[in-house]
Amino acid sequence: MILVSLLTSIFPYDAKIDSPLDHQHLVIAYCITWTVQLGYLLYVCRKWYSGRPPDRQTEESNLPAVSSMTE
Amino acid sequence: MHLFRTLRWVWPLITIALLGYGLHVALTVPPDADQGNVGRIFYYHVPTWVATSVCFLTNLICSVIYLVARTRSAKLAMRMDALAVSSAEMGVVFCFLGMATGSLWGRAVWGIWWTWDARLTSTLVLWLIYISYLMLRHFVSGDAMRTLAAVVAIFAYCDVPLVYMATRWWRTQHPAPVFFGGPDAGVAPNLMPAVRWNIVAWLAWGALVVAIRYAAERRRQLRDREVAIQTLEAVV
Repeated sequence: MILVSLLTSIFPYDAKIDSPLDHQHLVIAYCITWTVQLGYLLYVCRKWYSGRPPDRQTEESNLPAVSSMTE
Repeated sequence: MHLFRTLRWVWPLITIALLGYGLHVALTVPPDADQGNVGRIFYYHVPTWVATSVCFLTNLICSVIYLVARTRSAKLAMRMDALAVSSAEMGVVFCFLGMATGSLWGRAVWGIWWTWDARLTSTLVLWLIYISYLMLRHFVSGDAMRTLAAVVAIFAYCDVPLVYMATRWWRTQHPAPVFFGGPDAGVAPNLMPAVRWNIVAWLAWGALVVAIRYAAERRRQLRDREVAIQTLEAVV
């Protein structure tokens, strides 16, 4: 609740030109953008971290190409 | 090589600074005379579409290079494939956010969440096509999948010009394009700096996230290759 009120206070609101619905949608638009982007960043970072090689000595140059193996 | 190592640490800092400044500008510039403060949604809505276009264009270019290089240079082809899937994922995220912020703005200004006009419908179709592209990549594996995905990516991109031109070719609820949209199009000049800063900031963000996703995909490719070699060695 405190977070919501803090967030809404950051976004400009003028009762003369804005309706409460306008203000609500403005806050939601910015929050949804940041939430989705940070969520995706978290997913990508987890994917990157979980895929780290067990042996860091493995070099790509030492390995033959998959296409040449399957041919 | 030294430049890339430096960039690895400097780029996130630049991105955070740009996003912070972009947010500051978006919330402090004077409100739009016609729409009031709800017009500030545009400062995030327009950059998401620019970033979507860049991501899907990157996906197209990488897919074409993959198709050309797959029989000549396996290394280049695999790199392009990794970049193609990374940019497509980022593009889907931006595309979703473009539709979500547009819908929130539309509800406040037009009084409706959604309308089945040419622009919005073609955009939804575009998003669904790229979702299908990612699903194809998720459920199938191997070189045949990569080739098929690259072909699908080329067909998918055909919808991008259609989305852009929809407001010119058909009568739509959606306003004219902000960029290259003719004399009546665009954002008011006093609001343009906020749009520009946020375009730069979200493009920097997109590049950063795509780079991390690319690194993750390359790790997965190398691991798969290693497993394939071990399997072959075990058979022999």
